[in-house]
Amino acid sequence: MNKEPLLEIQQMSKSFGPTKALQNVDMRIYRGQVRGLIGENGSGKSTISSIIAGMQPADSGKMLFKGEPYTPASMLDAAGQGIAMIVQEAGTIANITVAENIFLGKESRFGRCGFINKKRMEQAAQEVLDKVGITGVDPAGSINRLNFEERKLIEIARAMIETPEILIVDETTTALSLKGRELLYGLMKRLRDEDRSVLFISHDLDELMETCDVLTVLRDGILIDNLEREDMEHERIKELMVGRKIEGDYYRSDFDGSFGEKVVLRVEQVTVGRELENFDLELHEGEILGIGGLSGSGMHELGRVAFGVEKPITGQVVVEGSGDRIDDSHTAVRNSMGYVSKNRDLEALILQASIRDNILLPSYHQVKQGGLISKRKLRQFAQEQVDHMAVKCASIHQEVQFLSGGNKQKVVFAKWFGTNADILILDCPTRGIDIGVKTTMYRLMAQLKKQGKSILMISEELTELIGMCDRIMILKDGHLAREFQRSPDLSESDLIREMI
Amino acid sequence: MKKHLRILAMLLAAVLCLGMLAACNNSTGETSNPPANESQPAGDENTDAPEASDGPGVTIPEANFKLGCVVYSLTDAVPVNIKNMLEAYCEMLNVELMVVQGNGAEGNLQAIENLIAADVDGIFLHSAEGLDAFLPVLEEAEVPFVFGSTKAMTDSAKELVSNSKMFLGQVSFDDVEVMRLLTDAVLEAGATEIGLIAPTNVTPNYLGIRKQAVMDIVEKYNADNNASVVLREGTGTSYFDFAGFTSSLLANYPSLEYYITVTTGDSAYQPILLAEREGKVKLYAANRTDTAEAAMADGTLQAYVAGTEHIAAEFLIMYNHMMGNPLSTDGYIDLTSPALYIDSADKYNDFNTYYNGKVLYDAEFLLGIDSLDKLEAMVNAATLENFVSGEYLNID
Amino acid sequence: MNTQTAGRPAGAARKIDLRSILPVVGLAAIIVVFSVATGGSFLNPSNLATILNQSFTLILAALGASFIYAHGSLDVSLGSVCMMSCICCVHVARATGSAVLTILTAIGVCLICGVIVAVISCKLNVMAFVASLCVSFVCQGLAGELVATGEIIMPDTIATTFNQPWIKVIVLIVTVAVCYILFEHTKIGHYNKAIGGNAEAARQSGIQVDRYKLIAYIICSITLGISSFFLICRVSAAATTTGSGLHMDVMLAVILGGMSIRGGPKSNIHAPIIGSLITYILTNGFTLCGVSVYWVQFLKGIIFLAVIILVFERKHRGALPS
Repeated sequence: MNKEPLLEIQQMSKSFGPTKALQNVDMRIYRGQVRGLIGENGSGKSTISSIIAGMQPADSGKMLFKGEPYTPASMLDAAGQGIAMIVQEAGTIANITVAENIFLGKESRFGRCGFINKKRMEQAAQEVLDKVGITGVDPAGSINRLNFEERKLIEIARAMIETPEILIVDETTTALSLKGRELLYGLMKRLRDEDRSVLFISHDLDELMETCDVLTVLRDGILIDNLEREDMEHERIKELMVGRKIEGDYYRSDFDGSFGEKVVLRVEQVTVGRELENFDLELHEGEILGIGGLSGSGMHELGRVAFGVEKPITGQVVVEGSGDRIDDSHTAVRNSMGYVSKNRDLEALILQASIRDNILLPSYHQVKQGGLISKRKLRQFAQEQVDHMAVKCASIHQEVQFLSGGNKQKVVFAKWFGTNADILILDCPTRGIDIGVKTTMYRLMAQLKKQGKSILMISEELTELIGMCDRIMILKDGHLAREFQRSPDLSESDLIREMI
Repeated sequence: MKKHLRILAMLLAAVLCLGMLAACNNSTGETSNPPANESQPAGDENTDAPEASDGPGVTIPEANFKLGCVVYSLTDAVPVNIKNMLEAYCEMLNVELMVVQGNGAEGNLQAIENLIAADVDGIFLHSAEGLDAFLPVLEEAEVPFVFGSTKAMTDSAKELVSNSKMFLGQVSFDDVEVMRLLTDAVLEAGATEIGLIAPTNVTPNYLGIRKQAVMDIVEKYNADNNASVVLREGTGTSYFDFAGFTSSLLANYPSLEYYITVTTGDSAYQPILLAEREGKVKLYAANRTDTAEAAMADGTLQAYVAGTEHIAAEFLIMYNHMMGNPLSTDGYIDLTSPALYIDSADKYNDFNTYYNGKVLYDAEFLLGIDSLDKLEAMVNAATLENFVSGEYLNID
Repeated sequence: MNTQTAGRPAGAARKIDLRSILPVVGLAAIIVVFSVATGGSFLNPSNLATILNQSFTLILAALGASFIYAHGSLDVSLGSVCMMSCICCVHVARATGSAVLTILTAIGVCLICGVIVAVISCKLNVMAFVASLCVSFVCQGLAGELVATGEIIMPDTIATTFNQPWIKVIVLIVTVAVCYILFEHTKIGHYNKAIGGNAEAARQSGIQVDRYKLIAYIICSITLGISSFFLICRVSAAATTTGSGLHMDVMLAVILGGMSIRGGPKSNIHAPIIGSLITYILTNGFTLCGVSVYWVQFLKGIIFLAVIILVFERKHRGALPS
């Protein structure tokens, strides 16, 4: 490994208003290194990577790339200099072709004055796809045909057009399946072998420990430590991230998979599109029922139908207590149900609304005084929930869009706790959330179970299912593949075998 | 970002305040951006005309009253001309004039209310819409008014104004007469089918009156001559979609040759051009037409009526009243100004040279009109031929 | 890491931010400027009464329309529906001479049209804007049949009885109060704002989106009906041009008052009032000052631009801190 750092960051600081996102951070990335970056939400890892990638400037500090001062004016400029980034959110543009997406911003290579030689662009696109190892995608086709994961792969291709010196991967793996992740890991290894570097940001400790040479831990904008391979160990990393020893267990400590006799929710012969076929399910009192599977298995549709967001073609969903059929969300909420959609920003939250307004959405009847909504009670109610969930925010009037992912999810949960829902349907509830918040969520779920509430948890994270659920139903191609009982011997490979 | 925004906010606020104060301190009646027709004082007149508007021999009496004027648009040629002329005459005789835009019944009412709040002593109105509502307002404020370029048309309107002491008089050309000129010309040319471009319903304003006039004239003609001349109407997206009416007529009646429009020829000319029927369609228009030159040149526009208003007369009715010399002692003044009928390129040139945009009268002349007889003579002398020859100033 | 709500960090304070008070400040500013420039005659009680009279129609219509704007719909049928309502209620007034029936007709016509727009847009899944456009055309077509002679006059008795300032003041105060309560203290207001923010999220929280949108239309129709009735009492003549452009005026008033027409959680009920007042005060004030009519256009344009630049949030660019 070269002794000269490829990228050096000196005393970098960045603030957003009163929030100090980065404080005097020093970091050196060397050639031929896969550098991991981990930290809770608010640690500054996304900030630092976005500054390196040219998305925004730092407030103070210096960056040296290959020994020369480095101040990128934009992401395109940074990419031109050899630092490319794949972002966390969706970075492709709908309604245009795959090739056009890959060469976004670089179309002038294929023509002049607005005339683009499509054939040449598509050929070049195919070359890049081959280089990266993506198969089965037609560069001339519209990107709308690709699913979220495939679109992420296109973003990877875009970053790899000119093999960058430093590739920044910002929590991309959350969107990818097994196959996609393997592809990405292979790419990272190749880059390392070619004496280039990778900056890999992820929440997944196992993944980071497997792929990285050095793991940098950030906390509250400060670089805490750089761990070499041999020092990387779960508990230690978690401690560094959170700043204290994590008391107790992460998931549930007990292995008692028992639950009440009473059935609270019944899914009967439900068919939804092509995703779910004649599906049956019984959710019991005090049960945490997990649903797992690959992304096309129908599990997300199951959640939507169970809450009335979508109507099944055949079959029905019935609440045992009242006998009501769940035809729409209103009926569901009336029957003391709650739903956390996996598209948090699009479906579970009103981004421009305040924390207070988001929390109160299903609970206005609780804050009435004399027939009218009392502003005072509104405030109290929201404040209570915010305190209970420990949402990190400036005030309940802050707009939800300014919160971090974890805190946003806390608001969503707070919304449903406020209604005292008996049945909660959670779809990927801890996606993109850091460890500290995850722990809180799991504790809450365990508490709910003890109180006799029921949870239907749909998740793509197998360890989460194994750790939290009383029963796990693995779906494959719209059918139940196999049902598992809670047990300390259950392993991920057991589940994976049924999914594929 | 927040800092810049604050500075921008303060800057804009400052500009705004300064702008408003400056504008408010501007003397009234001044046009800062003159529109298309420039108002030049004392154009080419006859032999004894002095150069300046107030020559050394004329003393302008002091006028300590304020007048208001309501026009329905600031971009249409007709109201813009009215505004310019009134401003010119007012400036000539040192009268303060405030111009306000108001469209429709509510617009009129609003404009009048605001003018009254601004303490005007008399108002020039150019639309009778909303008369029922604004007449009481004028009466209560005891502000006299004059109709220019329009008249009280309906029976109820006539009754209202004749019972009102605030109504001084009205000057306009005779809409029915105008349509007679046009329709007669069309019938004489041998038309058996006439495309009528007019509002879908007979509306309570001059357009509706004109439409009714055409229908009546044709009906009478058919009865008198045992003929069967037919009127065709078009369809459009609204009551006043004149361009749409024209287009639909052009499309549905390919052999239709003669078109009469109750408004300007402009709205009909464009569709005719689009349908490439210029020269094949013969258009007769009842309002001043800006595209007249081109339309006449290619043979489309056969005749149109321009210059509806006699603004000096309208002005003089009010001015004399305000100066303590009301021109009529029993009832309101009702004047009909000659329609300027233009049916040839020569006449068009004359119109542009001798009339269009010209301030026709000077202060001395205006001050000389101090009786109803002289006023009537002035109005009757205002024909196109007289403008050309200069005889329009000869009213003895 | 817990919430510190006791000690609020500076800058992230309660939303008494510059932008939302700017329209109020602007209103106060122009009142001051005009009072000074006219030497006080602007504040003459009769002038203030004139302004109130003039802005009454717009304030009422805009108040109701705010509910629709709050949930993110645009309604361009307000002008035509107002016209229909005026025409119908004059017919009823002439036929029956009953003030009660006339008022009920005015409101009823607006209700029918409003409900039709709501149903078309919700059940047939057509954009509200398009649905209102269709209803607008239908009204204009029908109106022609009902006003054969071009204009009909409201009977004096009813017109003069209701065209009195004190009645208008009472109606105004009551309507503002009711709308305020509905907007801020009932589910109707909160739900419509939520739907405007994110309809799908609202739905997934158990809100019956279609029902509350319909309620918004009903409220708007009621205020529009009342407003039309008073309009016709003031103007006496109903023609096919009555109320034309009302929807544009409402839109402009709402924007001038500082509310985005895309609606959402930031919608409020004072925007329509302030915006309407600003509109009419500007015209009145400029007239009083004798400002040349071209200057008026120019200044109105600048004011509008200023409001848009200063009040409305531009989209954030760049990464948010995480």
